[in-house]
Amino acid sequence: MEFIQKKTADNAAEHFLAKAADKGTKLAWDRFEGQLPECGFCESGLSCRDCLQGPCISHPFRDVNKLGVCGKDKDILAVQTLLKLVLKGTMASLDQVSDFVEGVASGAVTPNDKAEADRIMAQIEALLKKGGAGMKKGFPKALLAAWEETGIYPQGVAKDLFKASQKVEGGVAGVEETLFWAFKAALLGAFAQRLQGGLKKAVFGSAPTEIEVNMGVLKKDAATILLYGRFSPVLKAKIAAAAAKKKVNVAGVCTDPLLLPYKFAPVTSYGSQELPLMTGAVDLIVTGDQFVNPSVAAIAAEYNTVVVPTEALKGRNPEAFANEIVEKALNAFKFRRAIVRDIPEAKETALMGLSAADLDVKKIAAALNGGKVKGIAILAGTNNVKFTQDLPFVTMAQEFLKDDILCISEGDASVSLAKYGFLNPSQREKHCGEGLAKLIRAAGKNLPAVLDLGYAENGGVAEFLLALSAAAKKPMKELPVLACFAEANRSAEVAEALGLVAMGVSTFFWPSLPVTGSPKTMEALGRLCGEKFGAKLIVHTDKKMEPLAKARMILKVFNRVDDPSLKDHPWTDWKK
Amino acid sequence: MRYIIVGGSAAAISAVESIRSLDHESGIDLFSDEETPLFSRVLLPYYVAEELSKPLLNFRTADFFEENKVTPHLGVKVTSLNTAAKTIRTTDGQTYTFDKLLLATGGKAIVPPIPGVDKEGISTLKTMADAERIFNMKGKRAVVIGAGSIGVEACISLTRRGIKATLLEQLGQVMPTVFDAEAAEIVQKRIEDLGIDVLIGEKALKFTGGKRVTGVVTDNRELPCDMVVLSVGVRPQTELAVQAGLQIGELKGIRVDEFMATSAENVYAAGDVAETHDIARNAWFLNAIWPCAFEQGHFAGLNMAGQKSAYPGSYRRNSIGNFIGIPAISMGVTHAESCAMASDEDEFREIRVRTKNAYKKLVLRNGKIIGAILVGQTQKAGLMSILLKKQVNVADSIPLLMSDRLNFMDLLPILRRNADRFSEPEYKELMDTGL
Amino acid sequence: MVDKDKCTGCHQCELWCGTEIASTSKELAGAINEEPHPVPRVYVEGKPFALQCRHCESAPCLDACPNGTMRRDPETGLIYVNEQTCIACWMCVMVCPFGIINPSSSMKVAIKCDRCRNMGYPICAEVCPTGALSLVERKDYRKKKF
Repeated sequence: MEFIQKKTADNAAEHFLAKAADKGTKLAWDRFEGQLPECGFCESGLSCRDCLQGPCISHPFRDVNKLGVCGKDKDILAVQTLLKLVLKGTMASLDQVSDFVEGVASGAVTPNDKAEADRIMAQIEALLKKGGAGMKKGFPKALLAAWEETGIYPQGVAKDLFKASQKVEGGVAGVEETLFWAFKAALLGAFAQRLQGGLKKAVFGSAPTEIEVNMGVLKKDAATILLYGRFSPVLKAKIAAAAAKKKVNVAGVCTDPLLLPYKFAPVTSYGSQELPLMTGAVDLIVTGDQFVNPSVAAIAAEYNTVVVPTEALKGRNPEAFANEIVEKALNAFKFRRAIVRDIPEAKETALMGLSAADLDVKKIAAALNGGKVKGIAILAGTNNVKFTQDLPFVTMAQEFLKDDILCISEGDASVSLAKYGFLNPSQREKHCGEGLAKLIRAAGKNLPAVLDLGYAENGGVAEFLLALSAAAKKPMKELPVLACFAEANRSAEVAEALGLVAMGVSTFFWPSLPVTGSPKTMEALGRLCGEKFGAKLIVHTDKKMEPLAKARMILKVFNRVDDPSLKDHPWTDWKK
Repeated sequence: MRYIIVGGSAAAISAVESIRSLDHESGIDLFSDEETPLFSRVLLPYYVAEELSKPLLNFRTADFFEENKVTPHLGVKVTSLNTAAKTIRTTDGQTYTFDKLLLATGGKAIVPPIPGVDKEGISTLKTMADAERIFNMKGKRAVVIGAGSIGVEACISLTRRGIKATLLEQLGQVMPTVFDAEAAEIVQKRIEDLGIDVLIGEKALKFTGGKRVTGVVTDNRELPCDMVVLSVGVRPQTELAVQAGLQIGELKGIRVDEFMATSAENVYAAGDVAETHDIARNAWFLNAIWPCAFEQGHFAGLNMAGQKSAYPGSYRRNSIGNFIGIPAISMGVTHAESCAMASDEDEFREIRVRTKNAYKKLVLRNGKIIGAILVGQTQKAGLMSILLKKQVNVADSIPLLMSDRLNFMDLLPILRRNADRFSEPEYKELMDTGL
Repeated sequence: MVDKDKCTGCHQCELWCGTEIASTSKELAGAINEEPHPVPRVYVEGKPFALQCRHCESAPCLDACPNGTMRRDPETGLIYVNEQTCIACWMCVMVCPFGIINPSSSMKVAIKCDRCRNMGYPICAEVCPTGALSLVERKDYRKKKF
């Protein structure tokens, strides 16, 4: 039904697709096709499995099953589907920050700035227990007012998560109220991310770093460990330290690449995470849980690659665990010598890990206010098998940069873009329009076309936006900023999108969220959010829209040109 | 082999098709006293309402006769039938011989003997000519006498053209042969909601006016009007049969056996003129209904062409489609009491469910459906049809039948238990879920 | 062909028949919000079981239709409703023994599965996740016979 013709824009990945087909190795793309057509009810948010009187659907074409057994109608079913996604997604951030705090508190690492680290850890504990009362100073008054008025200011895990989760257990809360609960949960995670970023800086420091990306970074003739997914930076640092001693390479997939002084070269992006294993050059992988396909275990087995899940850590000493891992990797390397290495030559340089402090935010603000750049696009998200891998990201970056729109990226989106040279400083002039190029040259030291603000869990984008708003002396909702989740798939990204909307940044999200079965919820994400936050979450239902068309549609917004396909304009005062 | 078919409507055309399915060569001559062939009488009210033009009234394309190698004699009335000599004579003075003959002469609209009934502006609604006449009548007010299906539809058709209509019915409810009192009440309200005055239990006594009608006098009042539509019933056109000495039934239709044969050899009858076995009533009856005519014509054709096929019997089916804004369907008998031939051992049941906007009733004899009325919610009415037609015992499944969730799959066990009521190919078709 | 043991009652066939065949927008999100709502031509009821028009060899609906609206395609043998000429008299609804002909939401035409005669492969069979619905060539096609 939605058969994707071209699976990926990444040539290195493309190489392995053919190989996998020959070998009979099944990848995410094959499993996706086997799943088609995916359930239309679930896709539209019109299904519910919250209790055992179901599973229920709201059938749009028949009268007998329009309501769930308990009485939930299509609007409630859809908005609760969104809520459940956000709850899971926000817990991703909370889980990460908890892991990190545990690691630091155990004394396993010596923070660069111990006092600051202790202070932030206290703030994190306060946030989780009692809410963000202690963080109010960091936000502009207007933003705080909007959050208090809608009742979404974080009050701690018990009040934000437990209560929010109970909305699906019963009660007569309507669409708007339930939506605000989702925002509350999302905001808690967003606050946690900012604190995690601060803790990371305090413990490890932070600086923009040049790093190589794509499969070409893998080495034929040295033991190689790949770190998959998000897990405690403390454990990652320990592994990197132990590996460095034994001259073992450590690279990463879907994990924060920078943990100074260590670097974990991103070997590929989310959609092709199974493929690096097929190079044969990976001796051992350490898997966290978030962002890791369970299928990597099976594919690793095909290549005799050792799989070590972080669960095996089990509260033991991370340093001992790290040493064990490195030993295993060395053994595996010996054992796997005979396996043929097939490493594509794809490799690209990228400058990653910028933060607000590394940029001349005043100049950027001035350029915005003065119209020297038309706006800022935040490119976020990860790949989704429903789109040609990386193509939406790349197309948007290309079109925006040409048209003097400053592009900021984070997380896996940065990795995707880095593969194509967008984060390579020497390729800046190639991509940017004149006005933009001038700004970038002035805004920092040897910056690339697209500015990576670090991995999503470190809250770099939020920090930047707050600094920008202060420098421009305008509330976020009045600045020409748009967030684009061009390809997204995880619940964490849904939570992040809501967090951005709550901050006043209108956000485009693809694929369409499972709320399309409820006109009320769609409308609330537009009009209601526009009223309360000055920003909207835009859910686009046209499945066949090409990446170029999406980019052009967003460009029209930046250029303040009317587009009839945009039924609900993201900016309330766009004509100004 | 020479076939002659007298008549040109549902039964006749259906017979042509079934004859041709078996016999591609023999000659078929079709005689119809109407000039306009192949139009569907059921659709005449739509013509009157100006919603369907003439070509859209046809139920077969204009090349039907040519395609089926039929020689049509249109506008030619058959005046006499000689069953011994196997000949007919027609108004154009000719004599034709036949090997097999089908009488599908249908019915004639009854013109009640009310004083003034031959004034201008008064018409029945049965033939194409009738429809055209009514269509061309000028005026703003109409009275329709007889609230049967035709009467009701005629009223509504006229209303749709901006004419104020009054419906007159001498019995106690609208559509007395189709609905019971309760369903008729719902239907009557709907008719009234359309702006039509419905007068129940009133009889037309005479028509006023000079050359042209100006009013109707009833036993209660005088109704001024510019036109009158008479829809008081239909009488089977059995003149030929009577003249030829064929057996005529109690309802004045031509009696036929299960092979559609009349009392004269080689002469068959089908459609509104024929009296057949009625499954619901378990008696001889005349159901002047389009699908019955079609079925009977089909069986007559088969038997005429040499394939002996038993007709399972007819049962009344009426549907008042989108005229009154809600669907209403009725089949078989409307009340348990209307079963004339009932033995002392027969047990009757009526089951009714009435909600604000819908009405459903089943009439059962000895546990088998002999009648069903569905107003408002007519989904799955066809399931009642098959159960009635095959006289399946449904005594154990009443709650299922009366529920909104009735569906074919839930009926399967009942059908399986009654497999013997179906012929082998029929049963296979029902059970076989081949796409 | 409907394999009753494989039907799980998931309603996907109804959903996609409604979207791809019955709706105007032909896209799920649009079809969901259309007024009057599209009417799917396949019915998931009872056991569960997905039931659509059987395109009977001796079809009561063909006989009951007073104006030739219900017709059989001579090439494929499939029965379909010519919506242009349907007058919504519901005679077909009244005689279908499977109950798969029903009035449209607008009450203006009779709705019935035509086995996706303009599409190639029936959409219900295409989307059925368990393979309960499939299109199978019948070798023992018989001539019309009562």
